[in-house]
Amino acid sequence: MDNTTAPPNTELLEMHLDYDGGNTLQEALRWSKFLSIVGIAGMGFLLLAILISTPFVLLGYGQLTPDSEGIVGVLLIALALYFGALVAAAIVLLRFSRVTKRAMDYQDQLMFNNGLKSLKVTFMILGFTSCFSLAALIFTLIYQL
Amino acid sequence: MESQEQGESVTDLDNFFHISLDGASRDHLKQIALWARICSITGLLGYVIQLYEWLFGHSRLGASFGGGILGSIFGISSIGGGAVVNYFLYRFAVSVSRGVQNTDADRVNSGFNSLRLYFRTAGILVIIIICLVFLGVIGYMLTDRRVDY
Repeated sequence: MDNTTAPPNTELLEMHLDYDGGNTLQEALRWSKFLSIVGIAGMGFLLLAILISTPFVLLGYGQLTPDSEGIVGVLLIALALYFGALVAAAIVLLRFSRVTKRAMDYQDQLMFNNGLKSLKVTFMILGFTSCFSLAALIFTLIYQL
Repeated sequence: MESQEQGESVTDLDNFFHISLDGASRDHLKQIALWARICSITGLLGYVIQLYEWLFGHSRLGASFGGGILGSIFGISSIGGGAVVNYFLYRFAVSVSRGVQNTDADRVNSGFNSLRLYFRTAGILVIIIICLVFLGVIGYMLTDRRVDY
């Protein structure tokens, strides 16, 4: 059966965002916007601090031994990827808050779905990074034992 | 004036009812709930491991606050705060996935309430951390000046 011929009354059976749900979602959007902006700014400050402190740290600890250079390089790449993923998550979260807010203001269903898609991408990135963090934590715990 | 307010509130109400949770948004919500559940479970496991390390291991959690009572308060509050945030995320994931499965809009809406609490608690924790960092920087600068004299 063709979906386009479905009677308009079937819309009544669909799930709708009610008034309370809309209000709570709007407050969630405000806080998510704040968190994303703080996250982007925080990562920027962290990058700045790393760039400023690296020469001093290298001066303090001297030059690296040839054997350790490879490990340090891999660690630095892993850290850069980790923080890059967090910045990407913060940017997509900001997009979620902006797009969903606009969708609720203009009653745009397509925009609302795009906002939810951004939230999905945010949680996907956060899921990968939290799995990575947990693996690193378990590794250090085993290493300490 | 009153009628204008009433008109505005009706428009707001109307706005929310025009947005439905259709097939595409339900698919997105399912995926969101799945990843939110992964995030919350890994986060909670991480905090359990940190608590174990802090109690029985050689964790440096709170050591930057000089250890002792201040370090303990910092350790408990950071683990407790993180666990509460992840609990709200888990509640959001459970409510949304059940709501989408049973086509229950009330459950999905209560899931959005948990999402609000998750973002709000995380935001308040971030504000507290920013305040602590500022206090730490000011304290460091003051002690540094005293040493110079």
